[in-house]
Amino acid sequence: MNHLSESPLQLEPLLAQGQFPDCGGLALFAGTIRNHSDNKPVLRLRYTAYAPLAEKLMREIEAETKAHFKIPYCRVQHRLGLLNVGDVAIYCVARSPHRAEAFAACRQAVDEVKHRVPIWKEEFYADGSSAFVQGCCIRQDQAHHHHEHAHA
Amino acid sequence: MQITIEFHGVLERLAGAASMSLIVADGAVVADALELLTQKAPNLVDTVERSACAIGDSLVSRSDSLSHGARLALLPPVAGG
Repeated sequence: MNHLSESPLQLEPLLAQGQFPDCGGLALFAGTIRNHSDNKPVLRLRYTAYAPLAEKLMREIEAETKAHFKIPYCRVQHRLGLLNVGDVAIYCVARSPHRAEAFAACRQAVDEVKHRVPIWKEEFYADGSSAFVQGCCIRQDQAHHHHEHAHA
Repeated sequence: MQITIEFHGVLERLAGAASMSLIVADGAVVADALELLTQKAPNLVDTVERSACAIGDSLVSRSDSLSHGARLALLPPVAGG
């Protein structure tokens, strides 16, 4: 299954229902489009990605998360293209024997996607202007990296 | 040798194009191509400095060699989710 999708994300296949009978916890995170950013009304967003690396990194993040929390299942999927307020931008599903690991895994996987995966977000505002959201520098051969922004 | 620079995210907007062809010297490394690029497009300097570079599905460093026909993707700071 691809980790990036130009069409609306489908939750059902990500849930892996009927699998993992040893898991009593299923955590789901859905990131949806907010109608504001820094007090500016937002009408819609456009997500773009550098797919070859983004797909690879999302596979790696899933594998790292499963290994770190010793859980059997973690999936993340991110939407691309033009999205309206309320649309789902990202789903993450984690399954584990107990809920604590599922919640923690879900949170970590989403954080890693936001920090590491080459995906960009352009916001379109009610006043007709637009701007790319300031993000995380993923350059690895830089002497100094200042992480100055907050994550919503 | 000829290479192609791919612009992503805000760089595509700043460059006004999705890609640009460059002729670099044989044996050139990534840093050489970026130097040539920013000479041609000085408005990209700050964003290129904060951009990672990738070829195919791998990140590359400024000191990595380029080959003829390479497609070098410039990846400005990311903001998924």
